[in-house]
Parts: sequence; C-alpha cells; structure tokens
Amino acid sequence: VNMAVDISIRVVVAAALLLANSFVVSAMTRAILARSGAGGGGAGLPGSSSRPGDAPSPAARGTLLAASVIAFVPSVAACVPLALSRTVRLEPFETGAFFILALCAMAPVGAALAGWATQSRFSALAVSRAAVGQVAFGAALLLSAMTPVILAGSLDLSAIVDAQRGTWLYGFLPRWAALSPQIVSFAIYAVCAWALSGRVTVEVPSETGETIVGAELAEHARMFVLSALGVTLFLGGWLVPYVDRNPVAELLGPAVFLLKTYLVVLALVAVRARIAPLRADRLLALGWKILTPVSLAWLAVFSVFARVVKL
Amino acid sequence: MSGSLPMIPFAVLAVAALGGALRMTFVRDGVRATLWMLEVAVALSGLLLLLSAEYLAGAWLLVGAGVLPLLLLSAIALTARRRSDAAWPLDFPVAGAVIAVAACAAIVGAVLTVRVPAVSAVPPAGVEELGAALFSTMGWPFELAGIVLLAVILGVSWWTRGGRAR
Repeated sequence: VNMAVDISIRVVVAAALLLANSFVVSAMTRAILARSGAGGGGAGLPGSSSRPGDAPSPAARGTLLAASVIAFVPSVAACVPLALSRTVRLEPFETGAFFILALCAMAPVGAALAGWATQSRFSALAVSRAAVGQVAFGAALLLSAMTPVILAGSLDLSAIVDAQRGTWLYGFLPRWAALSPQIVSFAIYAVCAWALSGRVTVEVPSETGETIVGAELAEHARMFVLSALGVTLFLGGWLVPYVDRNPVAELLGPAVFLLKTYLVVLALVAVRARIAPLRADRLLALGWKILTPVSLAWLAVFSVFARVVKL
Repeated sequence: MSGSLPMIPFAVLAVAALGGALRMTFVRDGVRATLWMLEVAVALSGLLLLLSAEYLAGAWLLVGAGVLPLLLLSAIALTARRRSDAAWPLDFPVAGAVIAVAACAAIVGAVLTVRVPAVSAVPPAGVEELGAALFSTMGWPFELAGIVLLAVILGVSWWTRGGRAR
C-alpha cells in the first residue's frame, strides 16, 4: 500500500510539473510568434487551421481526441527520464537517451490518426507526408545523438553529461560536445529538432477546438523535450562552464539546466518565426536525401576517429 | 519472476496486453485494430520496464507503438475512401485468428523447446555491453519483434494490393 501511495504521489507531482511546463512553453511560443507576426507553420509541415461549419461526427470527435492523447502523452512522458542534475531526476533510467527518442517516435502516429479522422483525402495526404518527414528527421536525430553516447560509453544521461566535464584547448573551451568535433552532430541535431518541432496538424472542424489545443500542447512539450535532450547531449547539461567541479555550481545544476533548455526553446521558436517555411517536398528531400545519409556517414567517420584518436 | 516485482501493476499491464491482443485480433475495423496494437505495445513496454529490461522496453515503444502503427495508419488513410472502407472484408476474421493462434503456438513451442539464453536482471551498463547483449541474450526478444514487423509488412502489402474492389 505504501508503495502504491508513493508511486501515486510521484505520478501526480510529475504530471502537474510537466503539464505546467507545457503551458509555460506554450505561452512563451505563442508570445514570440505573435510578436513576430509569424504563423505556426514552422518547418513547412502542414499548419493547423479550423474549418467553420460542419460539426464532426461523434466517431470523428473520438478519433481526434485519441490522436491528441497519442501525440501529447508520450511527449510529456519523455520528460521523465531527463536528468536535471546528478541527483535531481524524476526516475533514473540506464538508457534515458534512447527511451526519450523512442517516446518521441510515437508523435507521428497521432498526426496520422488525425489525418484519418478528418476523412479528407487532402488532409490524409498532407499528414502522411508530414509523418514520413518526421520519420526521416527522427532517424537523422537518432543517428546524430549517437556520437555523445559513443564518447560517454553509456546511454545514461548523467554519464553523458559527466563526459563533458572540464575544459580543453588549454582551458580555453568547455569540454561540451557542441564545442568539439561533434559540432557536426550538433548541427544535424539542431536542424532535426527545428523540423520536428514544426506543427503537424490538419484542417479540422472548428467545433473540435479542444483537440487543436491538445495538439499544440503536444507540439510544445516535444519542443521542450528535444531542447532538453539537446542540452544534455551537446551543451553540458547542468554543468556551469569552467566551474563545473564547484559544489555551489552543482547545487545550481537544475536551474542551469532549465535555463539552458529554455534558451534553446527560445532559439528554436525565434528561428521558426524568422525563416520562411520550406516547401513540403524540399523538407522531405532535406530529411531523407541529405541529413539521414550525412548523419550516417558522420557517425561512421566519428566512430573510427574516436577509436583511433581515443577521444 | 523476482519477489520484489510490484504485482498489481504487473497484473494490470499483463491483462491490458492480453486483452488488447484479443481485441486487436477480433475487431473488424483496421484503424481500431491498429490502436489496439499500439495499446498492446505500450503495455508490453511497461511489462519490460517492470522486469528491468529498459532497452527492450524502448525498442518495443519505438517499433510497436511508433513505426508499425504509423505504417498501418498511413496505408489505410491513403487507400480507404470512407470510414467504412477500413473494415476487414470478412464478418469474422477467421484467417487472422487462425494465423494469430498458429503464430502464438509456434512461438510458445519454440520458447519451451529451444534453450533461450536468460536476459540478465542487471541492464547493460555501457554501449559495449549493450552491443554484446544485442547479439547474445537479447537476440531472442529482438527476433520476436522482427516477427511482428514482418506480419505488419505483409498485412500492409495485402491491404494496398491492386485490383481489390472495396
């Protein structure tokens, strides 16, 4: 009974914190996009809009709700393995990096289901194309995330951050992955995160506005997770540069981690607001023809390089 | 089964996995069957997490709850004109049930007769240990996931074949 109560309390607290975080990121994104006058199209994937008039059937409404849940719950659950510092984490996972990416892979399923629910051939086509794009960028993102894992020799997020402790180049640069030869992986990861944080929703009847809110929250939660994972893999996680062995800096770890993550979220939203959306076919070409093969080739080169140089 | 395993969550997830698998087999609507498959994958992943097999749990999420439902939903959405077109053409999916029971019997028989290497209760600590485990103790569970993948690919090929009047 005690264990059940303990688990229930942890689940409720975690859900409240993660939901609050989703609302914060959502409000931040809306404010920036409204100020810049940009729409929500993001990376060129189909933007959400509502169609006035015809009310959805109960079956369509149920399917849309299921689509929102399938998109939202994994995106929020992906926050659970995140490590805010060496000691502050919701649940320790030995394979945290892989688990987060696996949960993020469920997002396109929600989009595909929403496309089916609308019963519109054009929506189904657009969403299928967007889902294929998400798979392409997801594959490239997974491959780019492997180089810090290889270097740390572990999928545990704490171990990956610990491998970035200290400085190099005679103490000039922090030993963060983004400031090392892994900058190529970081660049690929950043482009993939930008593409994956674009909106993938469909034109739905306006009466189902609550499902659009669910899809938006899912999108913002995913953006936060991808940013937090990027900070962990490439930007030193909770480490403060140059003083990362100081006990006070260790205490400030969670605040530093959240600050870095929100800065990355801001950067993603700012890029989304400034850069014109890519056409869908070009976006797919970028994912399948450029980023996926480049990240695969770079992973092979880096693996050999790391083995030879013993990084 | 370890003595410290939380029995209530394990029982709930086991019932969810078995019940979902039965619903997936007997439901007529293809989209609903896909959603039940997703539910089974999530429940299986939860079971694997309880059994300290984190990597396998993640792999099941990635494949069973990510790639496979996406493949099925895309195939159905792009080929079915109306919601009713997503129904299987048979009133009672006898063929599906027979194939499911036969596959289940084959797998259970194989598990009982073949000496399967036990998966360690301690998860692999690093990538080298993980790589070694993938080709030894974890090989069997991954082959089982491969069977599911193959079944879905065959199903999608059947669904999207040309010349079928719906």
